[in-house]
Amino acid sequence: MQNKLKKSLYSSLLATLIIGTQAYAHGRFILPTHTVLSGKETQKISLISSISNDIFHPDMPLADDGKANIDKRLQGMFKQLKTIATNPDGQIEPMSWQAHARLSVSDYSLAKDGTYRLSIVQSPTHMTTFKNADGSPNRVFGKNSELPENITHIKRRLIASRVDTFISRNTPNKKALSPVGIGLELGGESHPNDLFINEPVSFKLLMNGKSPEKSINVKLVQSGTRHRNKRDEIDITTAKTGEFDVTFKNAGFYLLEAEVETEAMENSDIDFYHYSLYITLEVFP
Amino acid sequence: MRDRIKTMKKNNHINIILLLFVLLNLTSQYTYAQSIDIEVTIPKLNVGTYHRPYVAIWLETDRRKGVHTLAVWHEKDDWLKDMRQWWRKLGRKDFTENDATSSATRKPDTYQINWNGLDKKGKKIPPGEYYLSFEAAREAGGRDYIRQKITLGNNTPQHYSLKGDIELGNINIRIN
Repeated sequence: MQNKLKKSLYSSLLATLIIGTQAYAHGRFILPTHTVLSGKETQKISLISSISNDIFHPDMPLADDGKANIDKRLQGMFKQLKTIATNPDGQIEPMSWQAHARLSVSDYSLAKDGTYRLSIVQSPTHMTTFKNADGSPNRVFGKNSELPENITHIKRRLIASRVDTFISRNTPNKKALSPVGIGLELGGESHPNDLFINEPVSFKLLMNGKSPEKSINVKLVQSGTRHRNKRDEIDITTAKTGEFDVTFKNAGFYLLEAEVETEAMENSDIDFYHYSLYITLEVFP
Repeated sequence: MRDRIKTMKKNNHINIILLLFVLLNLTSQYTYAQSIDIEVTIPKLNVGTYHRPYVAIWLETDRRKGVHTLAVWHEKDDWLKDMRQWWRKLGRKDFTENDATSSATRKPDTYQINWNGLDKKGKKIPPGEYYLSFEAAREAGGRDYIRQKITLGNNTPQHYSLKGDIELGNINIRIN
């Protein structure tokens, strides 16, 4: 019984991680101790990451480098994710995460001036969702996976998700913010480490490194949902260029969430592309 | 053999105790006849991610002591704690999945709950002033917590209309 429960928990977690579809979406985030630092010497920060609907209150770990003493099935889930640190020169640096019961933890040293981008990325993965002969929902991962017989509602998706946070030492720069070109990313005029209340900022969502050419819904949720009755989400619809403006009224940490599902071209071996993006932003008074 | 006789004797004792319990209940001092009808609406919400809310309805004294749980709509027991007020007043001490009040979460609609004023053991709740409390919590959603003062045992018909902020719609309480 216990095992069965655990198994279903992990498979739903796996789905949670990988699928971003509206019906399954769970919040996920990287929360740094600091986003803005000063000083000539190397500055250190600590970070946590988690899958949780209570914004910035962790519920499940999100990353691990394979050394943590946790269930093997969770390790399997973490293997599907890449943890990437990009330094202010745009170079990739090693980064290590350890999973604990409810969250993952990491430390990071900022040896250079400028902006670092710390990410947990789900590379494009094939997933087919369908209904079994008895009508129950099911899914299979992998490009040419064998499907059961007599299934209906078959949808083949290529899914990719990204969890980002930005940290700057001294003057921020934008090299680490250059788009990778896969899935959804945050760009635009404003810098994510230069956010203050009552100051309008302009961002732009990029899809595969380019303008999405369709409106995308963006959701901003301030931390501490566990301790208030209303989630007080800020809902924004971007322009077709992906551009959007926002003026924060309250200081604090915010989670930005965006999702998009696009039909694939005809004769493609998939039906939809599904991309999701989770970014932690800190707003100062 | 002797052991068996002992067990039988023991069983007899238990039977007598049970019989006493039944008799005590029949002669309970609170014999007021009152029926409490509650109508609760779970509103339809226009949100992307919707999970049915967890809902608890319970009775407290005016000194905030938990008295009786009338309904708990839930799925996983991990999240019973999210009905925070109910959890601290009754849930953590008194609730098991086997309780008659336990049932699955419900989709947006209006639901009727009838309560005969009996507690878990089938005993009438002593007459007096109480708070009927409602709490709803939705995953990735909001929370609602409302209370209404009611009087039990005075045989006066009462009607109260309440409204939740987010996760609960109209609530009607009729005591006859």
